[in-house]
Amino acid sequence: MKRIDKEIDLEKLARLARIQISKKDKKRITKDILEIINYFNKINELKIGLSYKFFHQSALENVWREDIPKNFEANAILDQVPNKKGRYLRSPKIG
Amino acid sequence: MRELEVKTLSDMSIKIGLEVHCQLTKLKSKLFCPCSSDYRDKEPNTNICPICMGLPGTLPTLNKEALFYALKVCLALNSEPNKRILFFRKNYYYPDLPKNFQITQYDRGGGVPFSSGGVLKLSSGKEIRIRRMNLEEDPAKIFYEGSITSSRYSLIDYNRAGIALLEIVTEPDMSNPKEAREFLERLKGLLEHLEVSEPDLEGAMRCDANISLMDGTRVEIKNISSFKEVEKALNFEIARQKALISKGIKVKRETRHWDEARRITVSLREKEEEEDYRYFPEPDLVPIAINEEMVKQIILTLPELPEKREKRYVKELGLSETLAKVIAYDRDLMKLFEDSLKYCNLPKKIGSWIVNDILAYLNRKNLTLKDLNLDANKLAKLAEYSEEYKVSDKKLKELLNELISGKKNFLEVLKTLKKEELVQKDEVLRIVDSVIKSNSKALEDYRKNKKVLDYFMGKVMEISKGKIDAKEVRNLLKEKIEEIIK
Amino acid sequence: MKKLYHLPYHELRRKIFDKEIKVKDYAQEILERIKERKDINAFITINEGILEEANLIDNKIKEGEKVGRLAGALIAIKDNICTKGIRTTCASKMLSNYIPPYDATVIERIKIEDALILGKTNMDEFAMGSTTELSYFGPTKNPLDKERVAGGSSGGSGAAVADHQAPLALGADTGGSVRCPASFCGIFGLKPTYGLVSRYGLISYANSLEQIGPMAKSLKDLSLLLSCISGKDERDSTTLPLKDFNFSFEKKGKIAKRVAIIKELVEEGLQRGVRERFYSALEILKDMGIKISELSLKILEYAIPCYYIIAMAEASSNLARYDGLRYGLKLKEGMENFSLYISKIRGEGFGDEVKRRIILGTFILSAGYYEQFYIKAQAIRKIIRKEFDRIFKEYDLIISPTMPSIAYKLGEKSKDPLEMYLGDIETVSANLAGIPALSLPCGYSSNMPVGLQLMGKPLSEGLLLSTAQEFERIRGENFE
Ligand SMILES: [Zn+2]
Repeated sequence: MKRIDKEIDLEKLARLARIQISKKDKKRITKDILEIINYFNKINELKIGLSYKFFHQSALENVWREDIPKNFEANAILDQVPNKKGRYLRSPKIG
Repeated sequence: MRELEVKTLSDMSIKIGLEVHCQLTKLKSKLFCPCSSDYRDKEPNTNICPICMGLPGTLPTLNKEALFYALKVCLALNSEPNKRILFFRKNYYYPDLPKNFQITQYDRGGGVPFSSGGVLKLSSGKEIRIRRMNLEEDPAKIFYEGSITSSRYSLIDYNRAGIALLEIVTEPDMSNPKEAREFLERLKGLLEHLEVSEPDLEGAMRCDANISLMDGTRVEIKNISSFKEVEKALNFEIARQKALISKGIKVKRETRHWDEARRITVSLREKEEEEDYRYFPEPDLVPIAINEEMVKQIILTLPELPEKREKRYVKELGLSETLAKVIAYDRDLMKLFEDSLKYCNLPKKIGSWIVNDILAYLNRKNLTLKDLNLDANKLAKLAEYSEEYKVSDKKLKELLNELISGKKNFLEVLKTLKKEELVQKDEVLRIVDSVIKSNSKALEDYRKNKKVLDYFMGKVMEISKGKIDAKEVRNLLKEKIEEIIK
Repeated sequence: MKKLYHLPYHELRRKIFDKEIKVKDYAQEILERIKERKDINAFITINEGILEEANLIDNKIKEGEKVGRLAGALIAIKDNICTKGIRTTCASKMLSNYIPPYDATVIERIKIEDALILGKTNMDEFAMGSTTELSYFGPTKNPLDKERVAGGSSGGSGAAVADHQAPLALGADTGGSVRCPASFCGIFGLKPTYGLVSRYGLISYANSLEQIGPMAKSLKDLSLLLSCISGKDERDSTTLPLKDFNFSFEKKGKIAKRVAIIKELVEEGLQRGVRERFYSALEILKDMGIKISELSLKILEYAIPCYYIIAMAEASSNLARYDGLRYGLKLKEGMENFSLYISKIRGEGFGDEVKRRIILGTFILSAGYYEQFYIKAQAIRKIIRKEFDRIFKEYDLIISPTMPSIAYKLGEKSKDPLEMYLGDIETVSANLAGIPALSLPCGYSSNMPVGLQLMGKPLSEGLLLSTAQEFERIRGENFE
């Protein structure tokens, strides 16, 4: 199996995953994930046709609920919100 | 002015496609949780539960009715529902997205859209092809403290999060902004007919557009709030791109925002890197298998569709094509029309009133039918009485308009109608008497030649300036003259 | 003298019903035991209302009211199962202050049976680990040897039961997280068939693999707890349409006749002591009249990467919701930009292993790698599932050791992630295939317990339990 090495851009992945990684951890984490990815890559030794007919863990189909509304005590949820203004959640601006 | 602009550039060279998001507002609960689907006018963050807030440990469950509503729309648009539908997660971070992924469908990576293909016809007969439809969850609403530019924070209200949303994507088949607007209006009419949505509710139907000129670069326009704005935004964009092309500047492939206040489209700051949504199948929802039985069941619930209805109005009720088209595609007018016919069998009269008087009035005043104190029963009664009391068309129109505008209430209108008939009868009698008296020579002639009645008729009609019913005058004259010469 | 806390629940239950003991006194005793054994670090949070709740049950019994099947059972709950009003942390800094406003379905179900929530047990952060060392609240120690780990990720639940700090516990098993601590601590632990137990309220790590499972000191207790939590739940679409379970031991159940062992699971990498215990367990099975055959299942070479690829992909999406907006950690600074703020929150709130798995999962699902890793892993999973189906047409059970070794020394595996993953070789297949798997003690090696794993076809929990019970009985006779 061809090793996956240079193509790993940890900064880009961390940005996609929204995880801040300190400069000092960067090297160590890159090394760890490279080792793991190349271990995972072992599965590509196995030559099998890839079926796109999707596998689902559950053998069930057509499970649904009726369209009946129900209320929930919203304040119990708001109690957990770290930053609020009135009943609004406060978020830093996007961009 | 606008017409001119569009025509200077050959229609053939413009391609417009639309991406419409429509809430299934007629549902009682959200798509994946039992919160109410009626989130409007509620205190912020009161219409929420652990599921639609993405609390740890919660799982989505599919609202069966949402699935059926979506299938209804598929069938009405001739869009083929896929046999086995999987929900996919679209992963991206945004404060309005409680789980930081949206549950939707995906047409690659082993997935299929909810439905593929389909067609919606415009009044010209042109067919706009549907590419696909998806059933997905609506994000929350974001507000800003102060203005969007000055505020330091966003404020989020999750009441809307999780509302069932139907995404309808067309092929780029529209060749001018007018067609785009008509497409949206027809689609809106259809969704209303199917009773799955009330697109007039604030934010219930939203639209993005893409446009390319002369097979050039495709530009997307987002943030368009209404159908009127779609037309305006597209017109602006055509003018902008034409100007660029004529100067020899290449049109950039980009996404632009419609700035309603300034009436221009503005380029969005380009993203540093392409968003990678990392779609994969939602493990918490099981596949949906669409079978014949389900489809049959839904077909039974489908109401008569506008196209079919239009044909029936012309063929069976004798409406003109213009009247039939207007009424068949507008749900409110259609309902008023059909309901009125339950009380009286005067389709042509009612149809004409609805389009030529009522709709004209609504358009003039920028109102909707709901604003009027008018129902099918009143309309039908008025039509029937007008037949019975032989009131002049002119007077009748006057009364109808007074009723529409609320100047007179229904009872007053009826009273006037009766009085009008009496007044009219007195007047006719008076004229007939005087004409007979002042034409004794003709009276003698009548004894020999009954055709002289026409002479009297002419006189009476001349004096009354044609305001009265000729048939009635003839009968009355005949009656009076025969009496005298007897 | 044997204390009350030494007793399995079914014995306590008799005493409670005979009004020989009060639930409140028992609870008091348990609380003292927990305090005494604080260094094991089995619990993250203790239910402060437990004595009052115990009182209520005592009153019910005194008044002669009908009580549920778990009356007076003090149950330790893994801290990734949501408990209304009781802090639920997932052993993460991210949720260290989080109080759920709702109960998981399994919690509702045991409460209906008059069980009491004793407290929330330690685990690897977000269930990502096999040792319970990777907890924001410090490692859980093995009660049999405090230099060793309790196993993971349900290590707190395993240690609490083994150390008599709780008679019963709930864990959750994604790739062995119930069975590994059961094996390392010498108790019983079961991963049910996928869809038998509702996941509603279980904080997701890898949705398509995990199930909540019971842990106990006796098979009788284990089957009772399993009966109480099983069955269809409207709030979890993946639960099977089955109701009213009763894995009862009143009658002697049917036991397995033909059993398979799989070469790939018993040959390489087994510790000597574990191998010895395993083969003497096989002798007991033979004594029970069970026919044993050895098979080879080559595809299992790929089971660990296949399992971790799927688990990490799902995890990267499941854990996206932790952004500090709706719940969880709060930072004072950095509020000027959304992406920056949540990256900081997530950088601070998650531990190293969680970050590693999220980043790996993000990579696996990213454009260009999705097919090579995610789709490929799903294809392998399909093959594994088919192979198991095929085997279960001929054999009633597959047996193996639960873990390739006895409990690791603290720090032995947690420093090298890959080495830790490899320890899951025996357990992950059951999760990939969605089949039930039971771990039961089968002896000691270097004074540490060794676990035996029984796997059966979907919904064969009854067969696993009755075979295990018979095994226990014969082993007991031999021992005496
Ligand atoms: Zn909700």
